[in-house]
Amino acid sequence: MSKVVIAGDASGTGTFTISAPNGNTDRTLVLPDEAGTVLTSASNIAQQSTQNQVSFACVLSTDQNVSSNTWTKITFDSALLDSNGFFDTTVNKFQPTIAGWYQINLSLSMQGSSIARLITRIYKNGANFRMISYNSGYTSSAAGTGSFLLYMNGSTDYLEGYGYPTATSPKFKSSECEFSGFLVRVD
Amino acid sequence: MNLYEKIISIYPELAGFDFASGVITLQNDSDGKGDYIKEWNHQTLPRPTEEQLA
Repeated sequence: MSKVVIAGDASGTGTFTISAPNGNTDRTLVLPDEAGTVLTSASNIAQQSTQNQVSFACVLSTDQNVSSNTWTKITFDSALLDSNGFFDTTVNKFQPTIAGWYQINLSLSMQGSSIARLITRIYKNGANFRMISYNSGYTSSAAGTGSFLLYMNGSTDYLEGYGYPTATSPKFKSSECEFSGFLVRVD
Repeated sequence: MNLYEKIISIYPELAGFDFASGVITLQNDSDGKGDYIKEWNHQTLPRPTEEQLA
């Protein structure tokens, strides 16, 4: 039979009391078969679970002039949030060194004239990975946004956002574009 | 004149062509090298030469 030992601390002077709650049902608390400090209801569990979570949000610092009918990488060059430094604003890509499943969000807004359509895609490792949005029927402005989950291997995998406008004098709008994401599950 | 416009001037018949279809793909990686032809798989029109695009 395993045993439970309640040990005092030779340096401390306080008295610690284990007390019962006001209840009428018999209950058993089972300690985990692991070493470490057991959390109590007074512990900040929410903070414990999110303080090290990978997250990022990057935007365009200035409008980006682009060519019509051409896939162009969106130059997200300003980080609003980059918890672990995984987003490189000099080359506009997200490359985490923690493997797992990530939720990725991309919003792209553009202006121009005679806009026929705006397509947005996420590129993974330099190649098209998934279409985020396909919008048409605009005139002088357009926008697309979308989200999805994907697995990143924590070493070589990286993500970039691309936009494809069909318009005259298109440009991606600095104040309305964002590339963001966070780690959902380490795997 | 950007790359798309140059291609249309060389091949006016591509003016109504869907460049998002994957047959002809133009791309710019925002690395300072500008627009380039990433894919050219048109069945009848040959890929423009560097001289034509200069």
